[in-house]
Amino acid sequence: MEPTEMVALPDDALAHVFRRLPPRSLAIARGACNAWRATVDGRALLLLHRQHLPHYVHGVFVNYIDHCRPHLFSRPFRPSSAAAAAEEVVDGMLSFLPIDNHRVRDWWSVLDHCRGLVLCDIKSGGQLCVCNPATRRWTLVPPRWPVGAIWREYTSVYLAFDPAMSAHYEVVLIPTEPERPWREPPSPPKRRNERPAFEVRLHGVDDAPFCLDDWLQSSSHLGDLADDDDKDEEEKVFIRQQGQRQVQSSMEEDMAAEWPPTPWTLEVFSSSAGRWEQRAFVRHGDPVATVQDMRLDQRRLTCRGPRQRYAAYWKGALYVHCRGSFITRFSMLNYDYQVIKTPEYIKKGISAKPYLGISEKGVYFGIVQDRQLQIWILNESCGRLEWVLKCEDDFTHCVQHVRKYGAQMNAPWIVHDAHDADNAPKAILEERFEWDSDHDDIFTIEDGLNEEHYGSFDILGFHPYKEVVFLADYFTVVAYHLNTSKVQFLGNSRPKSYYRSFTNDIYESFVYTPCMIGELNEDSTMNEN
Amino acid sequence: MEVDKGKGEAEETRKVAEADRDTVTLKSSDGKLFEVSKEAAARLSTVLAGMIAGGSIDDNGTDLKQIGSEALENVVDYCNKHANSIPSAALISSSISFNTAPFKEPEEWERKFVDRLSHDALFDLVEAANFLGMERLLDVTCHKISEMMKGKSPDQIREVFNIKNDYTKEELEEIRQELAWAFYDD
Repeated sequence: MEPTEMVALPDDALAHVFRRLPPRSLAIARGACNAWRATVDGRALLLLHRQHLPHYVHGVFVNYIDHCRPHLFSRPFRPSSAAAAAEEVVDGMLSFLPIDNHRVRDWWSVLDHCRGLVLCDIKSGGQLCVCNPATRRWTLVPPRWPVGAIWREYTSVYLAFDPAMSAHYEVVLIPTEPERPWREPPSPPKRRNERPAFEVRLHGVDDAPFCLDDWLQSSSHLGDLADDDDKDEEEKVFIRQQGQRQVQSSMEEDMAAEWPPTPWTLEVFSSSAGRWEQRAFVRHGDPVATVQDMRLDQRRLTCRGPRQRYAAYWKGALYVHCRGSFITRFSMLNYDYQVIKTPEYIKKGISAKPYLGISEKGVYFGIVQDRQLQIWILNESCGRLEWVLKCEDDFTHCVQHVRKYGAQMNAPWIVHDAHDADNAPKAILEERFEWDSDHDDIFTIEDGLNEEHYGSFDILGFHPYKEVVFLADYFTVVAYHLNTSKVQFLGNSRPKSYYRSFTNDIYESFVYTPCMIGELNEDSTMNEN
Repeated sequence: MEVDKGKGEAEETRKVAEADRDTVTLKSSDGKLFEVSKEAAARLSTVLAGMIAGGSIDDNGTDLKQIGSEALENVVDYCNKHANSIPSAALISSSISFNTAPFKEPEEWERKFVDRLSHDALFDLVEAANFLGMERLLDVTCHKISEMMKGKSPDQIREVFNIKNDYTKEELEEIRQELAWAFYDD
């Protein structure tokens, strides 16, 4: 028998073989020879995977207050075979990252997630890292600020990635102050001692925040004259008034300036270029906020996070919830932006954590206040942005039910933790990778529960492909189906390794959809400076 | 004309088929003759079904010039084995489709059937199945080949499949760049 080369196989048969391969094997086979690459590319076989793979929710990445690392909260997965284990298991612990979890200073967290790629700040915030938990690949983003910079006070960092459009991703910095003071360190003295004790503890790794008021006033020192002892009382009053007036007028001018400016120059790291670039985005439509609006909005929404407001990437546009109560829609293709006020939700005195995310119909904005869930969909028809109220539901009974029966309910999801061999529920033996959002653990809420209640839900995230919202009451997580009002109990998201304290809570959370695509060159050049 | 003494089951089927006068004689590229039940051939192969329906079957042996005797023997063997196993309605398909049909895992006997084949015999069988439009056999053989590809590096794949690396250095680098996420071990 003559030696057979499989290259000689009919194209159809070869394609037939390739269709049976998982994406990573297919990509490797494509690299075997020209003929195979032609078959894979000619039939767009890899594209099939692009469409199929990121279409399920694997779990939720959660950052905890004052805890050294994020955890994945998901259904436990038992691989059906050794091959599957090697090829397809998501590393929920992200143990492949260059992090020494035993070192005290190596605190890290998830900053953003976009279609399977996860943006982390590692080395206690000193280093940005993009990783793919499904392929276990990671890369370091070149630093944009000096080591030790307190960048979180001035900027938010977001990830833009869509494997259906490109294998490349972008990291976008959105300033949360009108200036970017990390270039020119702020002059006001550090105010660490004036901060309340609990805040120092919560954000111990950070330094004193940049204070806009101090910064503005430092440009005018007229007020200092008023304290000169040589002047008589009347003169002092006059000088003080003049000084205040001048400070005030310059401040008014600054404060009334529209925010964000146009063009708005942002720092963007592009993985295709491999470097940071400045991109000027031009505004479309009317401004909705001023510098004053931004200043009056808290830098952090609540002390329980999110430490940076959420963002969502949808059809080539990055939607960012900005300081100043508005959403900016950045077109990453056309370099322009539009703004729209956040929906009217504020009830006085209630601290709540609004969530901006992607779900079935596009961009969703949701909030739970006083156990009332409100969700809006961003309507973009005719080039205008407009909020459409999707639902307004009372969760009081649900909170009561979960509080009362949560401990007895079967929890299909678990937190992945370092020493959690005993954490996996023994009942779960099915080899299911995907959470079945239509059949799992739906419970009906009893009427007539009218006990005292203190708890409330926060939104953990939206299901990107179905109108389902993930909610957490403290650490108890449920999924709520917007169209049917079904509630599903998922489990308890508190990691065992999380020490117990009254400050325990969730900072931020990101619904994770695995993706096998995404160019990440493993970076071995990381320096331990 | 010499009729090849096929393997046990093939021979048995031939006897039965002769009695029923309900067989098809197939001739390999190297002139060997094989008989297979008309019913099984028509059910499993769209090409043979078409020939039977169109009356283009030669009683002295239908020429299948593209298929060698070893591959044809395997085809016939598969048809006979298949006729003996419980036929499943899902396997009866009117047209061959490479695109959408969801693949059913090979049954135990099918797995054994392909496992005993050498690489060369397996690849020949894929070609034969493709030529004869035998969707199920193609599924089973392709499944086996894809199993051989999984989890291997490009070099290992080239070795197993006896492929020459015809990429230039630059092209290789380009491919690595494009799909860096796939090359996790080198």
